Amino acid sequence: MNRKKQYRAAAALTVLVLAALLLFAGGSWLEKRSRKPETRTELPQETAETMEVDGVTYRRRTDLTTILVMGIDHDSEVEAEGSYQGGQADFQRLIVIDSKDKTVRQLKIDRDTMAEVTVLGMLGNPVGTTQMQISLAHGFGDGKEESCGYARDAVSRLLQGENIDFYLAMSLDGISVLNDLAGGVTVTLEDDFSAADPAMTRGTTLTLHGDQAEIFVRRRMDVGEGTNEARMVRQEEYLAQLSAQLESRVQQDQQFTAQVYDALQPYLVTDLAKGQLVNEVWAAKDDTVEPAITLEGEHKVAEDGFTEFYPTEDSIQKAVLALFWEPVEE
Amino acid sequence: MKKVISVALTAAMVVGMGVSVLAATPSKTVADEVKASGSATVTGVLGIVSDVKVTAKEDTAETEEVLKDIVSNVDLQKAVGASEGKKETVDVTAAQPFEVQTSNLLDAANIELTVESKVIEAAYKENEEVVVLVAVPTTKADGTVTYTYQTVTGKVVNGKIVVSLKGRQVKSFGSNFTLVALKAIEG
Repeated sequence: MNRKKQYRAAAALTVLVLAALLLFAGGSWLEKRSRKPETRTELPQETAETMEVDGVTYRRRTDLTTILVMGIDHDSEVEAEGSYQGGQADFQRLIVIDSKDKTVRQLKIDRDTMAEVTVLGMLGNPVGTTQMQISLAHGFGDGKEESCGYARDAVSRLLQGENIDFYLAMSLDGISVLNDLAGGVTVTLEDDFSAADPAMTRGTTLTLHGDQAEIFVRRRMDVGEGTNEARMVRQEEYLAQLSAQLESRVQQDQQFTAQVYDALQPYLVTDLAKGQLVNEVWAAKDDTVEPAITLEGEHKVAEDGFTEFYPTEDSIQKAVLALFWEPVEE
Repeated sequence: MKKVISVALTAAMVVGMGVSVLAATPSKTVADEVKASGSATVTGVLGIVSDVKVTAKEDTAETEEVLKDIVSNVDLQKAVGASEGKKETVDVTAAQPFEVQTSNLLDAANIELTVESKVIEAAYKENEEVVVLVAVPTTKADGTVTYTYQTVTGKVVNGKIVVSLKGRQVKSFGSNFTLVALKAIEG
């Protein structure tokens, strides 16, 4: 069971990376299609506010677009039944695009971060909130927009009520689709995968198709030394190759990106319109990307055997200031 | 230094992925978190002389049957005592089956049934009174099961719903029953 969860977590993350690749490919397509740069969608701006922390006055940044990106440990074909099967958001990252400063800031969110999560009753109504792992917030609800809304609420509460404009969630089973759209990725197998697919023996060079891609990036325990590290090396090689192939296909065929979008639609839940999503990414393509912020805190193993991460208040405050506020120059 | 976002963000994602995969440990699911658990104690002097064993069961099928029946056949608003005309949404926070084995349960014995879960923790305040339905199954000659319901009051103590009953009440429920905790949601 644990192994399965680990496979699924890794795969969810992989899908997310692929989604990012896709978005960038979408941006490239727009660049070729249009001579004029696309303008970013105008969003309602926050009223200018100030606050003082440790003797420093901060002003709320304006012109921000915040997107919560999630990788969901849930197959897209599985319909959620009841109130509790939305799937965990095992990967969460908040991306804050500052169009005024031309900067992209990011916050890594540990899936085990303890946060106030909306809890549903057995008939599906919100009955209150309580503290639990933030990855579980998405698990409440329908696995679609409702679940994403609860996940967004949990992250907003974690970040002292800061507003999150949009969410983008991808289920884990889009890997094979994207792989095939890219024409399949050719790899030389350093390990033996024949337990999963007889054609995938050690030393073989083959172009991965369909489920083979998923096997290649997800399989671990019965492959080679069985470590996460070895699998990560494999995943990075695969992603580099896939990225190159996607870019190549986009350059050859302007319609390719649209095809990819359509194909990935069953695996994607977002409240960001397709065009808006591409525009946001495209508008930020030359922005400075700051290193992702990580909350500091303590990991504990609870009595029930599950990991819990408790970020410090100071760390949360610093993250909120860095992402959403700027010091006022004297 | 300016970087092309597609390269940098992709790299960041890959690094993020690596860190997360390294940290991949068993993570809790919502099912783990919301699952109710129960316990029962017979207290007081009369409890000592009573020969009774009340146990909480993990019977998902029975719980599902009770929930289906409640949704179809029970006026939950009436059950929680919502005033006429006031539209409140009522939800179920926990459904916990119990089994009673007794040969000499005294009517005046005190029995405490306790139900806990994260849903309960989220739904109620400490010391809040909770409307609890007791679903009692009856099996007909053709094998179909129907339920009758009695309403009792529980109280939230240390984040758990505690239902205090007398021996005569428990005897009236029979050997199997399910406690169903309700929550009225305003608005």
